[in-house]
Amino acid sequence: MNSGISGYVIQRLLGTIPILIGVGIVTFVLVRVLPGDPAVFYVTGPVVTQEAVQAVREALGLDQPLYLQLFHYFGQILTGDLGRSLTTGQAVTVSLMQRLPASLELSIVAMTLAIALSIPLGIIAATRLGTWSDYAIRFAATVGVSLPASVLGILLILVFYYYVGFAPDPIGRLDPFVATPQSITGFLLIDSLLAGNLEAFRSAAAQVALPALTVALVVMGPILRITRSSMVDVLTSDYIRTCRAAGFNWWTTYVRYGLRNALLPVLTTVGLIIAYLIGANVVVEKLFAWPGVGAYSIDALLASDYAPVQGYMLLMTALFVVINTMVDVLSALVDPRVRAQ
Amino acid sequence: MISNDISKPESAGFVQHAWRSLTHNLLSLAAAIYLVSLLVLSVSAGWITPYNPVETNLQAAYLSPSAEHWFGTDQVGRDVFSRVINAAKLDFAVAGMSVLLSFLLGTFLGSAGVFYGGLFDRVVGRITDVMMTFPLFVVALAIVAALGNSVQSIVIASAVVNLPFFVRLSRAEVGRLRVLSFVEAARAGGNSEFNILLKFMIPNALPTIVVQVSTSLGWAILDVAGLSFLGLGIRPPTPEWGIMVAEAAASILAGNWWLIVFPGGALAFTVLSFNLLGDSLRDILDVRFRR
Repeated sequence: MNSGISGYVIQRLLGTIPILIGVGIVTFVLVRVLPGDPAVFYVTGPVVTQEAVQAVREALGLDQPLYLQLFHYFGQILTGDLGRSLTTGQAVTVSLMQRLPASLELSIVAMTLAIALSIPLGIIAATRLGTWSDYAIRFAATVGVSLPASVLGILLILVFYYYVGFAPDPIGRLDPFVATPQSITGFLLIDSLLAGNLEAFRSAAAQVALPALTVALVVMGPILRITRSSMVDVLTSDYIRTCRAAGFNWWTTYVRYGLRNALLPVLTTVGLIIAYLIGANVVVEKLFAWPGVGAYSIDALLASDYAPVQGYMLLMTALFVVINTMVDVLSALVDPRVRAQ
Repeated sequence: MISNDISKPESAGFVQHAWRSLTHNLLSLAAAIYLVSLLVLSVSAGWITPYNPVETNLQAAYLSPSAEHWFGTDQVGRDVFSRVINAAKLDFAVAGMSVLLSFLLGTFLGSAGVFYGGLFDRVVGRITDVMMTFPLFVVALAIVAALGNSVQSIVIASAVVNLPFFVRLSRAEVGRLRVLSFVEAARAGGNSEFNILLKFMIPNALPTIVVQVSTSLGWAILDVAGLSFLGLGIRPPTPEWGIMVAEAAASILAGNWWLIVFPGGALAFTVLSFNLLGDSLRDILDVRFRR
């Protein structure tokens, strides 16, 4: 059995390679179809002369055949060289790695919030099928998927910052008057605790609250819907009826036996949820001046600075593929039926 | 009509079922009324809106809602009501274009996949699976980088994101229909395979696909507004909901609630209405299929 699982894992991991190569080709082609000659783009200096363009073309290897350039490009990706940003002059890899923890911190806090809120609500809706609480929860989920992250975020700022005055200035990850803890993991919530700096922790937590709540409310809709419908499926099955007939209590029947099986379909739709998460993250990063990778890529795109855009696309797709594969592997570990296939 | 959910012991009785369909229909009725009136208002915007949506008046900046300016005025004194109504036209048009594209292409690809079968079908299916969960933002980023920051790019990006849902639906529907006896009869009647697909299968698959059109329209409006909020696609000073939301964000710390509540509300209600409409259409179709 054990070798079966590791075989499956290896097979899945190998399966991601063609997808990653495909994405690499897409981003490569992207540079080719971009309007204008990339060499002209990279020429520095006041006057663009024919010789300068030619020199840059040779330096960048643009005079070589396309397939050699593609190989060269893959070589660069593998060595972590994603080029330089034209606007900041920084290496894209460095900037992305600096900013990735901010995006991940936001996403992880938001996902935790969303799961903590939507799974209990999904269970309530499914166990009280057809009652007003079921309809209220379903309606709330529909409203949730209909609200744009931008509108939601601004409304939250309006209420919690302007009217209630509960939230701090919705700008950045930390109050500017609080000393930044030394960067160890890049996650401010963790770094501040490691440094024993409670003031920084409080500030970081207060800053992340509204952006994370915004993202959480956006991704809650789909999670809630899937939890409810898969819970409904599970609860109508024979073994749950047997549990009820055997007189097991609410917790044992619905959570210990019901929820465990109902969570599997939720796990397999994680890809869809992450797609929502990435979109909401970008909007929220822009809205709350959150220094993440999404805001970085959109700023670069608007400045026609394409190296960061490519880098971001590669990073996101790689993360996306890796997470999806992990989910598949995880569901194989949890569910013997998937393993059998 | 008594509930036919015998399989679900917990399922509600007649009264609850009636209540359910009533509230459901009332909601979708409200949704339909909202969408139609917004459409009518926006098409006739030129005659009915009291102000020019792009005309600035710095003396009248940041006015809160009043009898003169129903929805208040923005940072350069433009009338928010006129802008919200005019924006509807553009958002409907852009979303409509994108959904039309994905509907036509998706239905074609999906049914052609079933029709030709084999490798073509497998490739279409596999690509659809990968595309299904691909983040819109990454797709939009690529398309805008390649084709430039224009409205066309946004239409294409949103169409690409919606496309897999149409492919999948039409594949499933055509696959379901091809084994039914009326298709056999059509074949026995001497119709060519292509004719069967075009005249018998696609028309019968359409109702289900139309449900997806409603839901997709909601998504497309959300996509377009989300991308223009980020500065992609439609740009200021054009009246558009996403742009108005972005402009509201700039001055929200001053508490100008009307700048977000009205355009944001119009946007959210529109998407919600399309979703509700799609849901109830799906319910109605579900009943038809279950019988």
